[in-house]
Amino acid sequence: MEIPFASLGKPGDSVDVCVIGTGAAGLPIAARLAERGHRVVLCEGGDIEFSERSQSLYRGTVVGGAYVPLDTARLRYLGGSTNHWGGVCRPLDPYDFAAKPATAETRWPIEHSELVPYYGEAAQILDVLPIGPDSELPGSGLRRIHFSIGESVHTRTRYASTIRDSPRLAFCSAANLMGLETRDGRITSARFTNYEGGVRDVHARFYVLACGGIENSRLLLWSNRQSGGRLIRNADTLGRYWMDHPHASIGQALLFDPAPLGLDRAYDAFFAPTPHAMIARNILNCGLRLHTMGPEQNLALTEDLTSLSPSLKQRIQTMQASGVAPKGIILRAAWEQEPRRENRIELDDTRLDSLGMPRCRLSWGYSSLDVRTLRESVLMLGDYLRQTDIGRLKLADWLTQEPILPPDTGELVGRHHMGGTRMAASASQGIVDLDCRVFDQDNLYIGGSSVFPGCGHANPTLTIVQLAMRMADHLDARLLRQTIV
Amino acid sequence: MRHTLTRRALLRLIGLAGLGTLLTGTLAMRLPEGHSTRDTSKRDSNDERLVVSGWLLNTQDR
Repeated sequence: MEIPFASLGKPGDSVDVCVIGTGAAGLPIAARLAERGHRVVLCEGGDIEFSERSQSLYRGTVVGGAYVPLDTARLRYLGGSTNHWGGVCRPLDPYDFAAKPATAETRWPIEHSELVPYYGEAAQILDVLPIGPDSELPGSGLRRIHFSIGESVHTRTRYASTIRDSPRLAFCSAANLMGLETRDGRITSARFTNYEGGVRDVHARFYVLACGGIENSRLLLWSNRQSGGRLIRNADTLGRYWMDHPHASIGQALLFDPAPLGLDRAYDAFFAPTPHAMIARNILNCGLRLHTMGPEQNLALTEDLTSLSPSLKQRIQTMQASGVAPKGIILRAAWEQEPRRENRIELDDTRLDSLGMPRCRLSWGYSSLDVRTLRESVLMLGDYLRQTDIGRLKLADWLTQEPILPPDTGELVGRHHMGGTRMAASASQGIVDLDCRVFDQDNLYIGGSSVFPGCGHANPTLTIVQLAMRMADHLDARLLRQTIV
Repeated sequence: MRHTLTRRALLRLIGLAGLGTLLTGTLAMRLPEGHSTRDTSKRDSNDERLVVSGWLLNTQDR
């Protein structure tokens, strides 16, 4: 049920869990816990619908490489950034949880198998169809992979009836988190303000911060500062190891025989390096995306290639004489970014938002490993095409130059905000433990992709929901244990 | 209301752009003619990749 701000944290209210954020992590966690009989307060900083007064709080600055404006890369109202995602889903690969030879920083402290039990539930929540198994392209170092590309489920719609009807879930909009009080290693209250300057404190047994891959870091940095460093005693990694998935157009290809790639008439097909190839080439994961090309572009690409190669011209003419035209494809990539300390979220004390909190400053850029991962991956595909003689690949202009400088216009990134409060085996290596609990606080949990230590190349939403369901199970068990005691 | 809807539509478009609905067109060629590299990671040590105007070609293509 929806409650007004004035009713938030009323004296005598007994709340089991306070969930902050209504996106892909927060709303599924809150709904699941309410379903299981726990009393939940769900707070959203934004309004029910898009509002400028809320969205403007997402403005920030970016230092380093070309990036998208921070207030357009995410949404701040009921449902969060699920209000504009594209519905593209794929779980992380098992190998994404490992310490890759290229950098051990990709290692998760949990195994892939920890998330497998939650795949079904997460897929159901997001209306994701099962994807087929990967299949290796023999001799290429690549495997054909699959995504589920469907309707983009908005959590506000998925959980509309829960928000409206659940007697155990109290939802409050325009409730902006301003700080977390801590005493003896436990959060004692969360302070919220609305846009009119009202202040309410919520007391709960557990708190879940699920405000997105940028705000989780920003809010913890701010709350930790206010607490004099008692919230997170070892904050060395807080805000750091931040990642996105770089996206770029990487070229085009002309296929004489699309069948070996498993392509039919119209398609979106995806390939990625095998774990063996990632090890052999010392690179990270990379999703190569092949798209159908229009007839005019196809013709231009064919003329381009035949102008350079008399032998291929003759071959293509022979094909065309028998009524078969080579098939042009557009190549894009979305790939894994190296987790690096230098890529980080900080508080910008020179710029305050309308609530008086320092805005976000993002330091972000590519590493040589980021560039090498892409280059090697596209070369694997290009070499496979010419060695098997099923086609030829043309690199994008920016990939033919030395040094390779990724484009500073175009797609740039997937707007997949990951890292900053990374999951780790110890407080010296990250912010949350294997259960996504903040190391220094017994009852504070972090939901969302900010806990990713490494990010693979797959869109993160499915993994976010898998982790959310896992956290809901964990909190449910803790609440039941406390009740029994 | 009209302003809000327009902005929301724009934000959705921006979000979708990140998922690949915006694609670039034909790209220019700049690499010098005849530039070649030997790919030492290949099993066949005789395999030579010829890069011509961005195209990854076999030597016999020329």
